[in-house]
Amino acid sequence: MTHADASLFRFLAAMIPGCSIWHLVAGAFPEHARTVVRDTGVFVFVQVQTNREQAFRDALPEVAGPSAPVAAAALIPAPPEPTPKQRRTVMIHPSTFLSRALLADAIFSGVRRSRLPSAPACSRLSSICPRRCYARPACS
Amino acid sequence: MLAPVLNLPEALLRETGLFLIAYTALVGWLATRSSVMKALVLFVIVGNAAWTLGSIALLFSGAVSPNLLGQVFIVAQAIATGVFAELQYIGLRKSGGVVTA
Repeated sequence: MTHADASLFRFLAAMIPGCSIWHLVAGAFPEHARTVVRDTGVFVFVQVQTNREQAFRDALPEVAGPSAPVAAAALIPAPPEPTPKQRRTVMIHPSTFLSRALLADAIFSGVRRSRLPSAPACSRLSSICPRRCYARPACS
Repeated sequence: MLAPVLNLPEALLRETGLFLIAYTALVGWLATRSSVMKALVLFVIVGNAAWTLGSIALLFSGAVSPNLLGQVFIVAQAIATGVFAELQYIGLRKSGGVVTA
């Protein structure tokens, strides 16, 4: 693309309503674009926002004029629209590290629990038999 | 029993033991799942962190008057629980999300 082409397209982009960003030969078909530019004089790669697409199409003939051939207006896909709401993760695949940490926590908590009295009956029996009643059936 | 050895209230130890039954079941169940609710894991992590802070607060609150062995018992459990919370948090960050809403 020559400097003159760049100037022309810059002028077109400024004149076309709704043409927020425009790309020239850096688009999807640069070689084809160069060919069309050389043969016809005008070739525009235009990236327009979705809601401005129609405005661009309406305005293009006025800008280009009936005598100026317009080969194409290759629309480069707009960048992906941001999701309306941030999606949040509900379920996860626990990593091995997390699974082991949870398992170790469960084992540790189980050991802690076994060291603590948990049933009133057990505590009553413990007053009779000072040793751990739940570990010694003979105490009951 | 531990209560006279640690000079801690037996009711406190009993309630703690009852809580730990349910907690052990929950965490053990979580550890064996292939996919778990992230909120549930976060609940466990926050619970462990709260346990750690609560244990330290219990010592300084004056609500109980454990002997030296009891203090060591509480502090050791607080540290161990805090370590578990940290490990679980690291593991959670390494886990991949599968379902979004």
